[in-house]
Amino acid sequence: MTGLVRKDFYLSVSMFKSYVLVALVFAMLTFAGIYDSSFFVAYVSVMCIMIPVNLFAYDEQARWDKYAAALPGGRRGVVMARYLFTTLVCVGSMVFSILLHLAAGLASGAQAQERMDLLLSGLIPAAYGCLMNAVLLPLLFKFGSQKGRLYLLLALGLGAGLIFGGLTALREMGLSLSQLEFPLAALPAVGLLALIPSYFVALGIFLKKDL
Amino acid sequence: MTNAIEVRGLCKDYGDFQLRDVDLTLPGGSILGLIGENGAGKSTTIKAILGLIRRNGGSIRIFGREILGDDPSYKEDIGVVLDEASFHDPLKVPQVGRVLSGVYRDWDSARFDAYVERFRLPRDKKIKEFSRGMKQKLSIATALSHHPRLLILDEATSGLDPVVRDELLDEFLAFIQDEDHAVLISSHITSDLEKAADYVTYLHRGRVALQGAKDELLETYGRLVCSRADLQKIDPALLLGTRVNQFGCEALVKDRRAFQRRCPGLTVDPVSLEEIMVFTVRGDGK
Repeated sequence: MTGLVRKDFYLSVSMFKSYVLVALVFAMLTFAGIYDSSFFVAYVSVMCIMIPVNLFAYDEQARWDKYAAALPGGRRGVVMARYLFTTLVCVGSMVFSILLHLAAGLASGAQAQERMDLLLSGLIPAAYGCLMNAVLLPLLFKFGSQKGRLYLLLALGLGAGLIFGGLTALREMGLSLSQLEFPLAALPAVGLLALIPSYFVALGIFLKKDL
Repeated sequence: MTNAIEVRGLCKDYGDFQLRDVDLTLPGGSILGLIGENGAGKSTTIKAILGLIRRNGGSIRIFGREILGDDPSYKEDIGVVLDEASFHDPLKVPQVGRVLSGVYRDWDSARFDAYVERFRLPRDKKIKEFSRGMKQKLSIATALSHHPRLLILDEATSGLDPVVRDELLDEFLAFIQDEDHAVLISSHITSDLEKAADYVTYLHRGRVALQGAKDELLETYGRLVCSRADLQKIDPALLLGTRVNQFGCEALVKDRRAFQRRCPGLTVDPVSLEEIMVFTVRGDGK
């Protein structure tokens, strides 16, 4: 099964150039003051979701599922590897967000309170990425990447609305993110834990599928 | 000796297509060719053996062990080449090797490198730059590099030029020199199977239309060319299929020797697997 995770890693690296290019564009737009930094942060959560979706698309193109299920890990190995890699992507993006926000906080000379706000606002999109993956992965195993992309758009739209709406509502209520420190800090863990039941749902789907 | 594959009463219902009561036996040290027209059920049979579809009935044994549910452990012994290339366009050959070294317990990197060398596969090119033949060779190199006992090849030689096909068939023949090894190969290129197969199973419309030792089948069956008047005199029980055209009649004879004893005046020629297939499909019901 480690081989299948390695395969996902190689494919993600092959997509890396495009991701970096898009990140640079967002960074430039942020520096130019067209977008605020939260937009760049949201990009991390989008990547968190896009990488698994693109992996499904690559697999379909190569008709990999059929072949992979004929390997010694069987169908269970295919599902497990995809969840393991997705978890690594989610954890990686969380770490990246935390580091990015800490660096931004230190560079801007933000006070402790502001730094905490920055950190939490960085964690939310990564946690959102995990939660969306927990919902999307079984759908991708069921319907494939073509239909899965439609669900992805829906998820992104709803999620972006929830995040930006929630942040605006908090601001209007005069609350800062740091006042919701505990529930927000728990979100990444909730996102990661949500992948566990999601795995069993996806496995159930994939075990029944005729390849 | 234990058979490499034993399939009994295999059934799969897709609604518009049914695989019905397929029996198949592949003894060790031999190659079984699965032939049939497109959509006859060859790939469905292979998928059932590999556990890629849920069968509606029947049993499958691999090296004597019954395959039940989703236990994939028997797949360590199997090298698989499927109809379409299974490796991703952005990958390179060494990456494929590293991926599969984390999949198979007995992956042999030196052996894989040797096959890559022998098949003259470029290591620095992405798979998207490979020709179909190169992709198939890569699939075969991976299928052989983990010390499998059984090769399952679905249309592994289709779309390849005769030189490459010949090269690959030699590889399969070398593989079965060990009596513990066996090859199941599906193909609609019957000339390949005539060259390499020891046994043949012919699937037609989801059923086994014909099976047995290849040499025996080619020895037993024959092609009769005669006039309409001659054909009318022949007991239909002696024939499997007939084709009538403006120049005369052709028929597939079930038992060449018995036929010649009964009808000494008529000539029966040897038949190829392709002719057996064509007669059965086109002469079906005639």
